[in-house]
Amino acid sequence: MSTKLFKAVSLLVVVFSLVLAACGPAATPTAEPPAPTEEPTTAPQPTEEPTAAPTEEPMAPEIDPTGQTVNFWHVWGTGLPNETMLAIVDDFNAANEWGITVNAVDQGNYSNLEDAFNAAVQSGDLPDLVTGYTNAMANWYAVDAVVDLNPYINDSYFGLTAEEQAAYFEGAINGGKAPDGTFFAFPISQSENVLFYNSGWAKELGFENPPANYEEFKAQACAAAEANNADDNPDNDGTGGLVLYAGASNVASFVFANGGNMQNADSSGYDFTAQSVVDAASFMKDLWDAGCAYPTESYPNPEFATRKALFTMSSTAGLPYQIAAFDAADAIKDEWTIAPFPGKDGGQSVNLFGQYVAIANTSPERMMATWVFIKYLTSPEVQVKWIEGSAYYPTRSDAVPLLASYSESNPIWAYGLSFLQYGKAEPAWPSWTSVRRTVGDIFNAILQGDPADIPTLLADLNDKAAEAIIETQQ
Amino acid sequence: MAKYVSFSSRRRRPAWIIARKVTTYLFLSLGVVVAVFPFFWMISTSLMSLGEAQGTRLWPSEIHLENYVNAWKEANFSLYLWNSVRITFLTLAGELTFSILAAYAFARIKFPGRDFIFTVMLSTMMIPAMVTIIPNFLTVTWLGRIGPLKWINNWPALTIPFMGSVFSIFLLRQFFAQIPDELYDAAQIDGAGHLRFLWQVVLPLSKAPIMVIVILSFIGTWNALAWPMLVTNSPDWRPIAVGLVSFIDEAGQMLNLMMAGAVIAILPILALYFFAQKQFTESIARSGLKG
Repeated sequence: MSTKLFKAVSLLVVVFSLVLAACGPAATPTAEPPAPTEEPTTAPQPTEEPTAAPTEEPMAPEIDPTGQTVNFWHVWGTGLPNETMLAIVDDFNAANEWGITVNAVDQGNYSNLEDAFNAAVQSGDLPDLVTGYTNAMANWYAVDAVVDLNPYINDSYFGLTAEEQAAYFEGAINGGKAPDGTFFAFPISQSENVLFYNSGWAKELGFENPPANYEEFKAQACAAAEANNADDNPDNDGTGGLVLYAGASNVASFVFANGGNMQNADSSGYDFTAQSVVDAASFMKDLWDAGCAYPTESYPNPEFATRKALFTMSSTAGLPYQIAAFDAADAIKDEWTIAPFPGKDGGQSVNLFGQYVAIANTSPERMMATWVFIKYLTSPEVQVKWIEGSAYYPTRSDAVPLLASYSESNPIWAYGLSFLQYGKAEPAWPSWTSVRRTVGDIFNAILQGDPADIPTLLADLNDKAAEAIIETQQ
Repeated sequence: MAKYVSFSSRRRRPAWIIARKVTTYLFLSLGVVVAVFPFFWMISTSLMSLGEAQGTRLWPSEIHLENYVNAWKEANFSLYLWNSVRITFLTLAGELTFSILAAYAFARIKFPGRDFIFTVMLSTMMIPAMVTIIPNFLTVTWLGRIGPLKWINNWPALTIPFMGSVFSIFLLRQFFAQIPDELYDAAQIDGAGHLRFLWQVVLPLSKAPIMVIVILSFIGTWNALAWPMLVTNSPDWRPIAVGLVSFIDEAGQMLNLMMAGAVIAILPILALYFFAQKQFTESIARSGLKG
């Protein structure tokens, strides 16, 4: 090769390397993925929305889902939930009369899946069915990446009958709806944010039942903290009461138990200055200042299993982890259970975390095929299979009787079943994604600050939440 | 007597020298502990039950070797390990090819704007990776749309953006520039052009920096998580780090399985490091690079 030619080739290589270098991050990227900015095409409407639930099955569907492939992105990639979901998908693929093929793909955890779906919105390579948090789905709906489910639910051929619609728990259904009735997220199962309660230790401390109000809650938490401070083990000093993580879900749980919902009267915005929120904030602050609540760096399962916490707050999805913590060699084999959050004066509630799915905006046939699979997935018999494999809770009441034997062998889970009736869900609004972060920040500031600052901080939270609504509407 | 005198006159080491050595070794030992403890914790946790792994124990009460089998099965490691090997091999091959040629051009060929281009290229190192991730994703998406090759969910998106490494070009360029011009003159007299000189003289002299690039790039590619998660949505090309993430769910982490998976995942990196340890340390000593 001549020197001249080699120089030319080298120059080309340099230029190409520059282009590649510009593409290449300096280190392994860890940033959040891009938020969707481009709006996909408008969602095609599958059918005309009927005014009432179908009563008679028509002869043929208006949209034919025959032969479609449904790509289902989910978060259950390991263990029994994964095996169960794959088995359900296999059964559907083998038996459905429309020749629909569902391809279930694990996308990691919820955060990973959210990133992947946001990326898919950018690339246009959308799946057909996606799992996720409802506030994320609200964002996706806002950019037309997922569609309103009302036309499918009310479809004259594939829709749900009035009886079937009535079987769904109201809390679960409401969790997937926007205030205007848009139904963008469908609940396939649910879990609850509850109190984990060391009833065995509580009995030793002289308390027979879980707390029914703030006064009882404080008495029990402080008695446990005092017991740990008074014993001859210096390692557990400062522990014993409630492990308090002031994240939005826990805050919401306390507010729900006070009868509030963090929304204003017409559900057009947030209201963090309502008495239900002020009472919750004051109570958390009171526990904190009294030394009856403390933080941990990670999931507080070991603390709960070693009498370093009489109460922790967790999703029932965490039950297997808590059971495992009690199996550890250094655990104290106490009797324990779960309990709803008590309100200030005796109310009670749990925060419902649904496992929701949304239909991506693809073609009418693919979307209808996806709905057919959702309908199968949430049918009582299949829901029972899913519950038994995942330890979640059902979303429809007619599945509950079918879970009798599972309830018998899982008493703590069965006890949680009774809480579903007074469960509430967090706002399924696009702004909730950022507002929930602000809630955590403000409530941590409340814990660290002066009790007199609570009204000011909550008013500040209100302002920031209002700004977030405006930002997401732009 | 003379011998006796000789022995008795042998000076004892001053106390401050001994104290300095003791202090040095104490610090070094502390460094060893700091460096080794995470590995110890990882291996120890990988042998615990889930309950113990959630707690503060340092050693399992009972050894659970089955965690390794479970981690392998649960996280689809058979496929993900193979994917990681493929992705790493392609990335390394591309990065070495382009970096060596570009570095040689910057070091030994004079062309208009060379220093300016090199400076511009170096300045890209100042841009945080967070800032480039969105443009990169849009770029690979666009390339997939306009070209015949599928980028998303395929090897191009996972490998090509990492083939042009400014750091590698910079490191090699510094080494290549130190090679005496006389060697090139001699090679030229023998009829060698740039390519032959690069292949037969420069590269054999540059084994150490090339090994540094191989190791650093291998580690970076092997451990990559966020970018592969972004540009893949099926298991076909997902690397091993994605398998590890699957042990985290909304309510907790299966720490014991995750650590067993992490042990499996780092074995190739350790093997490579032991294999190339000599060149790696030599290169660091020569270049003054610090971790």
